[in-house]
Amino acid sequence: MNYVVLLFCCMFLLFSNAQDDLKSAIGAGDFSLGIRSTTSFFDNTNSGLPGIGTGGDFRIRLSDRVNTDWFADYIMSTTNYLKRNDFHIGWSVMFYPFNYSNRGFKPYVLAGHCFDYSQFIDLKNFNHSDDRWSSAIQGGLGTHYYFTDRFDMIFQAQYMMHLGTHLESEVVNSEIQFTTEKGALSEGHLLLTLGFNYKIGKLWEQD
Amino acid sequence: MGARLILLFICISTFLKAQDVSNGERKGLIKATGSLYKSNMLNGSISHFYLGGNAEYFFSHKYSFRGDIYLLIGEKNNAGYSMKNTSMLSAGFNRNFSKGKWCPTIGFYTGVTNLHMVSLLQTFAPDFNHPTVQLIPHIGISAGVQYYFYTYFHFFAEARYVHQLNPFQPTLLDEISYTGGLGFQIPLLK
Repeated sequence: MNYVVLLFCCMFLLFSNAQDDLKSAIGAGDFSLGIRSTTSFFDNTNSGLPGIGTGGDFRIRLSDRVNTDWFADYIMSTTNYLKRNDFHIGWSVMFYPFNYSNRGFKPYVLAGHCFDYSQFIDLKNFNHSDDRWSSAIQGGLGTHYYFTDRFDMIFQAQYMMHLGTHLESEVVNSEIQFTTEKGALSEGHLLLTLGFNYKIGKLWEQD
Repeated sequence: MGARLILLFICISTFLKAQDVSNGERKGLIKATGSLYKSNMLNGSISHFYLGGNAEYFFSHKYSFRGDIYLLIGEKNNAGYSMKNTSMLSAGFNRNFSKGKWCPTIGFYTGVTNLHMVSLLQTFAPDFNHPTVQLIPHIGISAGVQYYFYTYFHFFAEARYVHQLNPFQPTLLDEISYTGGLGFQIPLLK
Protein backbone atom coordinates (compact mmCIF):
# COMPACT_ATOMS: atom_id res chain seq x y z
CA MET A 1 0.00 0.00 0.00
CA ASN A 2 2.75 2.38 0.98
CA TYR A 3 4.61 1.63 -2.23
CA VAL A 4 1.55 2.48 -4.33
CA VAL A 5 0.87 5.78 -2.56
CA LEU A 6 4.53 6.73 -2.70
CA LEU A 7 4.74 5.82 -6.37
CA PHE A 8 1.61 7.81 -7.18
CA CYS A 9 2.93 10.89 -5.37
CA CYS A 10 6.28 10.62 -7.14
CA MET A 11 4.65 10.24 -10.53
CA PHE A 12 2.34 13.18 -9.96
CA LEU A 13 5.16 15.47 -8.89
CA LEU A 14 7.51 14.35 -11.60
CA PHE A 15 5.12 14.37 -14.52
CA SER A 16 3.28 17.53 -13.54
CA ASN A 17 3.96 21.08 -14.75
CA ALA A 18 2.78 20.34 -18.25
CA GLN A 19 -0.28 22.52 -18.50
CA ASP A 20 1.23 24.54 -21.30
CA ASP A 21 0.88 21.53 -23.56
CA LEU A 22 -2.89 21.39 -23.17
CA LYS A 23 -4.90 22.11 -26.27
CA SER A 24 -8.50 21.69 -27.19
CA ALA A 25 -10.66 19.12 -25.50
CA ILE A 26 -10.93 15.74 -27.11
CA GLY A 27 -14.04 13.65 -27.26
CA ALA A 28 -16.00 10.82 -28.79
CA GLY A 29 -14.05 8.40 -30.93
CA ASP A 30 -10.74 8.84 -29.16
CA PHE A 31 -8.60 5.73 -29.07
CA SER A 32 -5.75 5.56 -26.57
CA LEU A 33 -3.27 2.87 -25.62
CA GLY A 34 -1.44 2.47 -22.34
CA ILE A 35 0.36 0.57 -19.66
CA ARG A 36 -0.75 0.03 -16.10
CA SER A 37 0.19 -1.62 -12.86
CA THR A 38 -2.32 -2.95 -10.37
CA THR A 39 -1.81 -3.72 -6.70
CA SER A 40 -4.21 -6.29 -5.26
CA PHE A 41 -5.42 -6.60 -1.68
CA PHE A 42 -7.45 -9.75 -1.03
CA ASP A 43 -10.15 -10.09 1.59
CA ASN A 44 -9.23 -13.55 2.69
CA THR A 45 -5.61 -14.23 1.86
CA ASN A 46 -3.25 -15.47 4.53
CA SER A 47 -0.74 -12.90 5.68
CA GLY A 48 1.53 -11.90 2.89
CA LEU A 49 2.51 -9.02 0.68
CA PRO A 50 0.01 -7.25 -1.60
CA GLY A 51 0.10 -8.54 -5.13
CA ILE A 52 1.98 -6.65 -7.80
CA GLY A 53 0.59 -6.56 -11.29
CA THR A 54 1.50 -5.52 -14.78
CA GLY A 55 -0.75 -5.00 -17.73
CA GLY A 56 -2.05 -2.87 -20.51
CA ASP A 57 -5.24 -1.33 -21.72
CA PHE A 58 -6.86 0.61 -24.49
CA ARG A 59 -9.68 3.13 -24.23
CA ILE A 60 -12.43 4.00 -26.66
CA ARG A 61 -14.27 7.16 -25.74
CA LEU A 62 -17.98 7.19 -26.53
CA SER A 63 -18.87 10.77 -25.59
CA ASP A 64 -17.69 13.71 -23.52
CA ARG A 65 -19.04 12.02 -20.41
CA VAL A 66 -18.50 8.34 -21.15
CA ASN A 67 -15.33 6.39 -21.82
CA THR A 68 -14.64 2.66 -22.04
CA ASP A 69 -11.53 0.90 -20.80
CA TRP A 70 -10.46 -2.55 -22.08
CA PHE A 71 -7.72 -4.09 -19.99
CA ALA A 72 -5.60 -7.16 -19.28
CA ASP A 73 -3.63 -7.61 -16.04
CA TYR A 74 -1.34 -10.24 -14.57
CA ILE A 75 -1.06 -10.02 -10.77
CA MET A 76 1.15 -12.16 -8.55
CA SER A 77 1.19 -12.37 -4.77
CA THR A 78 2.88 -14.64 -2.24
CA THR A 79 2.14 -15.59 1.33
CA ASN A 80 4.02 -17.84 3.72
CA TYR A 81 2.38 -20.88 2.14
CA LEU A 82 1.25 -20.13 -1.36
CA LYS A 83 1.86 -18.24 -4.54
CA ARG A 84 -1.18 -16.78 -6.19
CA ASN A 85 -1.43 -15.83 -9.88
CA ASP A 86 -4.40 -13.84 -11.15
CA PHE A 87 -5.14 -12.96 -14.74
CA HIS A 88 -7.87 -10.42 -15.47
CA ILE A 89 -9.18 -9.51 -18.87
CA GLY A 90 -12.20 -7.28 -19.08
CA TRP A 91 -13.74 -3.88 -19.59
CA SER A 92 -15.07 -0.95 -17.62
CA VAL A 93 -17.28 2.00 -18.38
CA MET A 94 -15.96 5.30 -17.04
CA PHE A 95 -18.43 8.09 -16.36
CA TYR A 96 -17.29 11.69 -15.85
CA PRO A 97 -19.74 13.50 -13.56
CA PHE A 98 -17.99 16.85 -13.19
CA ASN A 99 -15.31 17.90 -15.60
CA TYR A 100 -15.81 17.48 -19.35
CA SER A 101 -12.58 19.03 -20.51
CA ASN A 102 -9.24 17.31 -20.62
CA ARG A 103 -7.40 19.61 -18.28
CA GLY A 104 -5.70 18.64 -15.06
CA PHE A 105 -7.67 16.29 -12.87
CA LYS A 106 -10.73 14.60 -14.27
CA PRO A 107 -12.46 12.29 -11.76
CA TYR A 108 -14.69 9.43 -12.81
CA VAL A 109 -16.72 6.53 -11.50
CA LEU A 110 -16.37 3.18 -13.18
CA ALA A 111 -18.15 -0.14 -13.35
CA GLY A 112 -17.50 -3.18 -15.46
CA HIS A 113 -16.99 -6.86 -15.91
CA CYS A 114 -14.00 -9.14 -16.38
CA PHE A 115 -13.02 -12.73 -16.88
CA ASP A 116 -10.71 -14.01 -14.21
CA TYR A 117 -8.25 -16.90 -13.99
CA SER A 118 -6.76 -17.69 -10.58
CA GLN A 119 -4.06 -20.18 -9.74
CA PHE A 120 -2.94 -21.25 -6.24
CA ILE A 121 0.46 -22.95 -5.93
CA ASP A 122 1.80 -24.58 -2.77
CA LEU A 123 5.21 -23.10 -2.05
CA LYS A 124 6.40 -26.36 -0.50
CA ASN A 125 5.40 -28.38 -3.50
CA PHE A 126 4.79 -26.65 -6.81
CA ASN A 127 3.11 -29.79 -8.13
CA HIS A 128 0.36 -29.17 -5.59
CA SER A 129 -1.77 -26.46 -7.16
CA ASP A 130 -5.32 -25.61 -8.09
CA ASP A 131 -6.90 -23.16 -10.48
CA ARG A 132 -10.24 -21.95 -11.75
CA TRP A 133 -11.86 -19.67 -14.30
CA SER A 134 -14.64 -17.34 -13.29
CA SER A 135 -16.02 -13.94 -14.06
CA ALA A 136 -16.26 -10.90 -11.86
CA ILE A 137 -17.79 -7.46 -11.67
CA GLN A 138 -15.95 -4.39 -10.51
CA GLY A 139 -16.74 -0.83 -9.55
CA GLY A 140 -14.87 2.09 -8.12
CA LEU A 141 -13.55 5.61 -8.37
CA GLY A 142 -10.60 7.15 -10.11
CA THR A 143 -9.17 10.21 -11.72
CA HIS A 144 -7.21 11.13 -14.81
CA TYR A 145 -4.50 13.70 -14.72
CA TYR A 146 -3.87 15.13 -18.18
CA PHE A 147 -0.28 16.10 -18.86
CA THR A 148 -1.05 17.01 -22.46
CA ASP A 149 -4.11 16.75 -24.67
CA ARG A 150 -2.96 13.26 -25.64
CA PHE A 151 -1.14 11.90 -22.61
CA ASP A 152 -2.66 11.18 -19.21
CA MET A 153 -2.14 9.29 -15.98
CA ILE A 154 -4.88 7.51 -14.06
CA PHE A 155 -5.11 6.44 -10.46
CA GLN A 156 -8.12 4.37 -9.53
CA ALA A 157 -9.44 2.19 -6.71
CA GLN A 158 -11.98 -0.48 -7.46
CA TYR A 159 -13.54 -3.40 -5.68
CA MET A 160 -13.86 -6.63 -7.65
CA MET A 161 -16.34 -9.33 -6.69
CA HIS A 162 -16.23 -12.82 -8.18
CA LEU A 163 -19.46 -14.23 -9.51
CA GLY A 164 -18.72 -17.94 -9.84
CA THR A 165 -16.76 -20.48 -7.88
CA HIS A 166 -13.60 -19.34 -6.17
CA LEU A 167 -10.56 -20.91 -4.57
CA GLU A 168 -9.82 -20.75 -0.89
CA SER A 169 -6.79 -21.90 1.05
CA GLU A 170 -6.49 -23.21 4.57
CA VAL A 171 -3.41 -24.19 6.54
CA VAL A 172 -3.82 -27.47 8.41
CA ASN A 173 -0.86 -28.83 10.40
CA SER A 174 1.52 -26.56 8.50
CA GLU A 175 0.22 -27.94 5.19
CA ILE A 176 -1.88 -25.84 2.85
CA GLN A 177 -5.11 -27.19 1.43
CA PHE A 178 -7.09 -25.76 -1.47
CA THR A 179 -10.86 -25.90 -1.74
CA THR A 180 -13.28 -24.65 -4.33
CA GLU A 181 -16.16 -22.70 -2.87
CA LYS A 182 -19.41 -21.78 -4.53
CA GLY A 183 -21.34 -18.62 -3.95
CA ALA A 184 -21.61 -15.47 -5.97
CA LEU A 185 -20.05 -12.31 -4.57
CA SER A 186 -18.45 -14.28 -1.73
CA GLU A 187 -14.86 -13.37 -2.64
CA GLY A 188 -13.52 -9.97 -3.48
CA HIS A 189 -10.46 -7.83 -3.61
CA LEU A 190 -9.46 -4.21 -3.67
CA LEU A 191 -7.46 -3.17 -6.73
CA LEU A 192 -5.40 0.00 -6.92
CA THR A 193 -4.25 0.90 -10.41
CA LEU A 194 -1.72 3.37 -11.71
CA GLY A 195 -1.66 3.76 -15.47
CA PHE A 196 -0.48 5.94 -18.34
CA ASN A 197 -2.25 6.27 -21.67
CA TYR A 198 -1.44 7.97 -24.94
CA LYS A 199 -4.11 8.95 -27.42
CA ILE A 200 -3.22 7.47 -30.78
CA GLY A 201 -6.10 8.81 -32.83
CA LYS A 202 -9.80 8.98 -33.49
CA LEU A 203 -11.91 6.03 -34.57
CA TRP A 204 -14.68 8.33 -35.72
CA GLU A 205 -15.22 12.06 -35.94
CA GLN A 206 -17.49 13.80 -33.47
CA ASP A 207 -20.47 15.65 -34.97
CA MET B 1 20.01 -8.07 -43.53
CA GLY B 2 22.34 -6.20 -41.20
CA ALA B 3 23.87 -4.27 -44.09
CA ARG B 4 20.41 -3.25 -45.31
CA LEU B 5 19.48 -1.98 -41.88
CA ILE B 6 22.67 0.07 -41.67
CA LEU B 7 21.99 1.43 -45.16
CA LEU B 8 18.45 2.33 -44.09
CA PHE B 9 19.75 4.21 -41.04
CA ILE B 10 22.27 6.08 -43.19
CA CYS B 11 19.60 7.02 -45.71
CA ILE B 12 17.24 8.25 -43.01
CA SER B 13 20.02 10.17 -41.35
CA THR B 14 21.17 11.70 -44.63
CA PHE B 15 17.87 12.80 -46.13
CA LEU B 16 16.21 14.13 -43.04
CA LYS B 17 16.97 17.66 -42.07
CA ALA B 18 17.69 17.12 -38.44
CA GLN B 19 16.02 19.05 -35.69
CA ASP B 20 18.40 20.91 -33.46
CA VAL B 21 18.70 18.68 -30.41
CA SER B 22 21.18 21.11 -28.89
CA ASN B 23 18.31 23.62 -28.47
CA GLY B 24 16.24 21.20 -26.43
CA GLU B 25 14.03 20.08 -29.32
CA ARG B 26 13.01 16.51 -28.63
CA LYS B 27 9.68 15.89 -30.31
CA GLY B 28 9.99 13.19 -32.96
CA LEU B 29 13.30 11.92 -31.67
CA ILE B 30 13.97 8.19 -31.69
CA LYS B 31 16.86 7.02 -29.58
CA ALA B 32 18.41 3.77 -28.55
CA THR B 33 21.06 2.69 -26.09
CA GLY B 34 22.77 -0.48 -25.01
CA SER B 35 25.00 -0.88 -21.99
CA LEU B 36 25.99 -2.86 -18.93
CA TYR B 37 23.97 -2.30 -15.76
CA LYS B 38 25.24 -2.98 -12.27
CA SER B 39 22.55 -3.52 -9.67
CA ASN B 40 22.33 -3.99 -5.92
CA MET B 41 19.46 -5.84 -4.28
CA LEU B 42 18.01 -3.98 -1.33
CA ASN B 43 17.61 -6.94 1.01
CA GLY B 44 21.01 -8.59 0.86
CA SER B 45 24.54 -8.02 -0.24
CA ILE B 46 23.85 -9.18 -3.79
CA SER B 47 25.10 -7.55 -6.96
CA HIS B 48 23.88 -8.31 -10.44
CA PHE B 49 25.23 -7.37 -13.84
CA TYR B 50 22.78 -6.94 -16.68
CA LEU B 51 23.25 -6.47 -20.39
CA GLY B 52 20.48 -4.05 -21.23
CA GLY B 53 19.11 -1.94 -24.00
CA ASN B 54 16.22 0.36 -24.68
CA ALA B 55 14.48 2.24 -27.44
CA GLU B 56 12.59 5.47 -26.87
CA TYR B 57 10.29 7.69 -28.91
CA PHE B 58 9.62 11.32 -27.97
CA PHE B 59 6.00 12.09 -28.83
CA SER B 60 6.45 15.58 -27.38
CA HIS B 61 9.35 17.66 -26.12
CA LYS B 62 8.54 16.61 -22.57
CA TYR B 63 7.25 13.07 -22.83
CA SER B 64 8.47 9.88 -24.39
CA PHE B 65 7.58 6.21 -24.58
CA ARG B 66 10.31 3.72 -23.80
CA GLY B 67 10.79 -0.06 -24.01
CA ASP B 68 13.59 -1.94 -22.26
CA ILE B 69 15.11 -5.40 -22.27
CA TYR B 70 17.68 -6.81 -19.84
CA LEU B 71 19.57 -10.07 -19.51
CA LEU B 72 21.39 -10.97 -16.33
CA ILE B 73 24.91 -11.98 -17.28
CA GLY B 74 26.71 -12.07 -13.93
CA GLU B 75 26.22 -11.90 -10.21
CA LYS B 76 28.07 -11.62 -6.98
CA ASN B 77 26.33 -12.76 -3.83
CA ASN B 78 26.53 -14.63 -0.56
CA ALA B 79 22.86 -15.51 -0.36
CA GLY B 80 23.19 -19.12 -1.44
CA TYR B 81 21.20 -18.82 -4.62
CA SER B 82 21.73 -17.80 -8.20
CA MET B 83 19.56 -15.86 -10.61
CA LYS B 84 21.62 -16.40 -13.74
CA ASN B 85 19.80 -16.19 -17.08
CA THR B 86 17.11 -13.99 -15.57
CA SER B 87 15.73 -11.49 -18.06
CA MET B 88 13.40 -8.50 -17.89
CA LEU B 89 11.10 -6.83 -20.36
CA SER B 90 9.44 -3.52 -19.53
CA ALA B 91 7.64 -0.55 -21.04
CA GLY B 92 6.94 2.88 -19.68
CA PHE B 93 6.81 6.63 -20.09
CA ASN B 94 9.46 9.24 -19.36
CA ARG B 95 9.20 12.90 -18.40
CA ASN B 96 12.07 14.86 -19.94
CA PHE B 97 13.26 18.19 -18.59
CA SER B 98 15.14 19.32 -21.67
CA LYS B 99 17.37 22.34 -21.43
CA GLY B 100 19.77 22.87 -24.29
CA LYS B 101 21.99 19.87 -24.74
CA TRP B 102 21.12 18.54 -21.30
CA CYS B 103 18.08 16.41 -20.60
CA PRO B 104 17.37 15.17 -17.08
CA THR B 105 14.73 12.45 -17.17
CA ILE B 106 12.48 10.54 -14.84
CA GLY B 107 10.16 7.69 -15.70
CA PHE B 108 7.70 5.02 -14.68
CA TYR B 109 7.65 1.54 -16.15
CA THR B 110 6.08 -1.85 -15.68
CA GLY B 111 6.82 -5.26 -17.13
CA VAL B 112 7.68 -8.86 -16.43
CA THR B 113 10.76 -10.65 -15.14
CA ASN B 114 11.58 -14.13 -16.37
CA LEU B 115 13.17 -15.26 -13.12
CA HIS B 116 15.61 -18.18 -13.08
CA MET B 117 16.33 -18.86 -9.46
CA VAL B 118 18.61 -21.75 -8.63
CA SER B 119 19.48 -23.26 -5.23
CA LEU B 120 17.23 -20.97 -3.22
CA LEU B 121 15.13 -23.72 -1.75
CA GLN B 122 18.08 -26.04 -1.29
CA THR B 123 19.34 -23.36 1.07
CA PHE B 124 16.16 -23.05 3.06
CA ALA B 125 14.58 -26.49 2.67
CA PRO B 126 16.40 -29.15 0.66
CA ASP B 127 13.35 -31.36 0.11
CA PHE B 128 11.32 -28.82 -1.84
CA ASN B 129 10.27 -29.73 -5.32
CA HIS B 130 9.53 -26.79 -7.59
CA PRO B 131 10.27 -25.31 -10.98
CA THR B 132 12.85 -22.57 -10.79
CA VAL B 133 11.63 -20.46 -13.70
CA GLN B 134 8.88 -18.01 -12.85
CA LEU B 135 7.35 -15.13 -14.77
CA ILE B 136 6.76 -12.33 -12.28
CA PRO B 137 5.42 -8.79 -12.74
CA HIS B 138 7.49 -5.78 -11.77
CA ILE B 139 7.08 -2.02 -11.54
CA GLY B 140 9.69 0.66 -11.18
CA ILE B 141 10.90 4.17 -11.59
CA SER B 142 13.98 5.56 -13.26
CA ALA B 143 15.99 8.75 -13.20
CA GLY B 144 18.81 9.85 -15.42
CA VAL B 145 20.42 12.52 -17.51
CA GLN B 146 21.46 12.75 -21.16
CA TYR B 147 23.86 15.10 -22.87
CA TYR B 148 23.21 15.54 -26.59
CA PHE B 149 26.64 16.49 -27.88
CA TYR B 150 25.97 15.67 -31.55
CA THR B 151 22.92 15.34 -33.79
CA TYR B 152 23.06 11.57 -33.73
CA PHE B 153 24.78 10.74 -30.43
CA HIS B 154 24.46 11.47 -26.74
CA PHE B 155 25.99 10.46 -23.46
CA PHE B 156 23.74 9.18 -20.72
CA ALA B 157 23.70 8.05 -17.10
CA GLU B 158 20.74 6.60 -15.27
CA ALA B 159 19.53 4.67 -12.26
CA ARG B 160 16.52 2.35 -12.12
CA TYR B 161 14.57 1.00 -9.18
CA VAL B 162 12.71 -2.29 -9.70
CA HIS B 163 10.03 -3.46 -7.27
CA GLN B 164 9.01 -7.11 -7.52
CA LEU B 165 7.93 -9.99 -5.30
CA ASN B 166 9.85 -13.16 -4.61
CA PRO B 167 7.63 -15.95 -6.00
CA PHE B 168 8.98 -18.47 -3.47
CA GLN B 169 8.35 -16.62 -0.22
CA PRO B 170 6.73 -13.35 0.91
CA THR B 171 9.79 -11.18 0.47
CA LEU B 172 10.83 -8.58 -2.05
CA LEU B 173 13.39 -8.81 -4.83
CA ASP B 174 13.81 -5.05 -5.16
CA GLU B 175 16.98 -3.75 -6.71
CA ILE B 176 18.60 -0.53 -7.85
CA SER B 177 20.63 -0.59 -11.03
CA TYR B 178 22.74 2.07 -12.64
CA THR B 179 24.61 2.55 -15.87
CA GLY B 180 26.05 5.05 -18.28
CA GLY B 181 27.38 5.20 -21.81
CA LEU B 182 26.90 6.36 -25.35
CA GLY B 183 23.51 6.43 -27.04
CA PHE B 184 22.32 6.86 -30.60
CA GLN B 185 19.41 8.97 -31.80
CA ILE B 186 17.64 9.81 -35.03
CA PRO B 187 15.76 13.13 -35.16
CA LEU B 188 12.77 12.47 -37.40
CA LEU B 189 11.20 15.91 -37.49
CA LYS B 190 12.24 18.55 -39.98
